[in-house]
Amino acid sequence: MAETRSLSVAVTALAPADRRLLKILFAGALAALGLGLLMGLYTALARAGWLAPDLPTGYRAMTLHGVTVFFYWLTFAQLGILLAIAAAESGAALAGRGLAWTGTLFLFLGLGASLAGTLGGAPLLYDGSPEVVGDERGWAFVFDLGYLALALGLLLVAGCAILTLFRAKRAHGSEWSSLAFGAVAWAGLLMVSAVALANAFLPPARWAMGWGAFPADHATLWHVLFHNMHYLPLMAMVLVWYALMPELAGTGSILGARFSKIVFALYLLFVPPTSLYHMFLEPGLKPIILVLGSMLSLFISVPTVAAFLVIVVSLEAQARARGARGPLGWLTRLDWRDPAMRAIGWSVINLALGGTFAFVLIQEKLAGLLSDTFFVPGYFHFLTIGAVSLTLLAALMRLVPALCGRRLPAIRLLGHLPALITLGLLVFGGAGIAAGLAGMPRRVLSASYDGLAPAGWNSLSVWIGIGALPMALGLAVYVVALAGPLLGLGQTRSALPEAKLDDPGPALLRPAWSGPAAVALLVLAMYGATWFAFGWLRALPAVASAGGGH
Amino acid sequence: MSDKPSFSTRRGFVGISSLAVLSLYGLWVGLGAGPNILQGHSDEGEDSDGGHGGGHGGHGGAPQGPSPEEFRRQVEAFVTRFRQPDGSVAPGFLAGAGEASDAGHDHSATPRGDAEDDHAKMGHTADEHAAHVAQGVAAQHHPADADHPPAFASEAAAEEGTVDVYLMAYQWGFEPSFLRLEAGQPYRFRMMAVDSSHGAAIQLGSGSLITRLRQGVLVEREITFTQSGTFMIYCTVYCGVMHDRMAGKIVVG
Ligand code: HEM
Ligand SMILES: [Cu+2]
Repeated sequence: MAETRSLSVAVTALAPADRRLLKILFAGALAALGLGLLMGLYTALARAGWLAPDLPTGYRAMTLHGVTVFFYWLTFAQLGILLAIAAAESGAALAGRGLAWTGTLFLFLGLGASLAGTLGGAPLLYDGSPEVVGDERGWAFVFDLGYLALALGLLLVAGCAILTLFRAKRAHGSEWSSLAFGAVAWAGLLMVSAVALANAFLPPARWAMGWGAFPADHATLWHVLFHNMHYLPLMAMVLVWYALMPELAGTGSILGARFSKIVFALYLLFVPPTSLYHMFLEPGLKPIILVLGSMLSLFISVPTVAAFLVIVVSLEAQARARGARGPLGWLTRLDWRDPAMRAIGWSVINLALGGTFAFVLIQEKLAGLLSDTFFVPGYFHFLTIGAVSLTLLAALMRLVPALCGRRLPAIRLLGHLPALITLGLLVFGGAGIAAGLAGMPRRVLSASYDGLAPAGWNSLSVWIGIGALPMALGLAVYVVALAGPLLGLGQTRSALPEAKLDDPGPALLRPAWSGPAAVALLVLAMYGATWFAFGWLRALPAVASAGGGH
Repeated sequence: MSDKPSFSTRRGFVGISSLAVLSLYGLWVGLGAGPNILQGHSDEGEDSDGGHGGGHGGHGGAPQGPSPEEFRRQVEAFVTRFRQPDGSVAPGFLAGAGEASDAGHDHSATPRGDAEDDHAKMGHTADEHAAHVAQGVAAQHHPADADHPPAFASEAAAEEGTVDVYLMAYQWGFEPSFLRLEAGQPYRFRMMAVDSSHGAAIQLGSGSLITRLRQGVLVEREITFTQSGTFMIYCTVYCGVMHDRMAGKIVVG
């Protein structure tokens, strides 16, 4: 069997039923993103004071935002891409296609129930804490059912991917390609998340119906779930870069399949045990837990940095082998006219920005002053939108036209969106991080506190609203552009050529220092940010112990 | 060009470079905030002077804390005892000094002397401060009682001039919602969220001290204000639709 190189070429060869399934998953992804970004914008504008929703409405919008973008957009998009990789690797139809269809049905049912539960009941925010349910138990049950259906959908679709990948392994003489191996690990983690999701929301669902005791440990179960759910997209991002490298740059990893497999396996090793730092603020944690938590958290960076290096070193060395010169000459060899390439390029920049601040928060002392402030949404949108969503959108920009046999509209415009979104993020995130350092809480609709709050909170909130506009605009244009081909609009296009890969041998001889240099810069930035944060911490006009719980 | 692989494309080099972020740990230790596991308890003191941390967490173990009802009563007693004509609650003033409340765990005391005096009195606890700081928040979160001699932390401190402050968080407000405290005086904040989880953050100008309160769990934090001013207390854990209306204030004189 011919090795598949280009993911978008491979999906064009899929059976029509599989193509339809992928299109439906991507349509679900775009619907969730479209709704979610509007709700995010709404929340930001409320915060800026330009909209003044009544409190339940405002919090419903915030709930819808978190639920749709974090749970449904990321899940639909990841599952679609995972299935595409699995099918491409096996070079044949999906194995257990019925599972995947049933799973997809559950994803949509879940989305519907999550929306209904949010609109009908008390706004629970996306963690669905049973403590704030009040009298609206029936609606809370519907809301919880949404997550349970999502969990089931995740299990089934990821299960189909794994079956398909096992078939691919048999077809390739019992050897997985590095990408297939990565996809199996990814699917495995998705299934772990599905279990964590069910684990966190089964008890509240039972309680809501009077079938079980009050789930007092919901906060802890949520942390475990949330931690897995928010690293997964980072793994997805890295795998998408890796999967698209052949078709975007004509290169595979020059370091060999085994090395990549080890890197992907590290996610399995490091992600599940590092959930502790979300809990640094929880009362009564034992010292040893905090020690381990802080240290382990640093390890979470390893697989992502490693994958970044594999890719950048390969790209640079290969470009040099083909004649690129100068320190950054290799970069100009990449096809920056392609909007997918652009989106990925910017997602690397946003990853560095978000990562720098994330590692400030990972330090437990700083976490004690910044968790629960707007510092958190301030930095994580660099990751959720800037790094992860841009990369997932890059994958969709390759896969959707291939699946639909239609061109994307307005290619040049699409190429400018990542810069626009990053600009918005810099304003939103910059203001949010500054506000967080000043203690401004997250999850409030208005941060004025009847004039008691520092004046800075209000002006920074306005900047948060200003930054939200380009972010929302950019994402909305992506959604509309990608919806076109899915709805059968736009010019048809002929098949793409299969990517041709050069032999990695000669590239190994070439120097490729840009990757390590970028990592060194990143680490310096992290040092700087941490250093600064400690100076700020020490300037506070109070001395305090951490809160110990009884 | 030689035909040996460039150093930069060697797997070993790429692998080692992937660990770069781990070096951040060195900076934490350098800043006195990295739990230095090699030494067990690092004792090169850190910022116990003008800095943060130090002091004592709760002396945990969920079963030991009061129930929300008991806590409510303690708060009521506290408020009645220290209520001022302007509606504020000023612990330490007009106190029926020394009388323990019903909890038998109330070490409210009139502040003795000025800040310097207190520091001097902290005596052995000052060392503990340093150790705690050096170990980072880790050590400040107290482990369960079982692991500790009972008089280790708060009790000892209370006898050394620390004044107890009760703060109850509920849907949707704080009780007391207006505190008058003194700069330089160490306070032991005894806090509980009685209905759902809440936060108790104190806005200090350039930043905030943030405490998460889980429903029914007593949290103790020792706080000393080093400057006077009016500081807002607000909730940082979503607790229902009136979450962003939950605020109170502390006037530090
Ligand atoms: C149009 C772009 C977006 C805007 C303007 C936006 C804005 C916001 C705002 C204002 C909040 C509320 C912060 C707070 O007060 O706590 C928020 C929360 C959040 N956003 Fe976004 N966002 C956008 C896109 C996204 C995307 C694409 C994702 C994920 C893939 C995302 C994930 C989240 C999450 C997880 C939360 C936390 C929700 C919560 O605390 O309940 N956002 N966003
Ligand atoms: Cu509250």
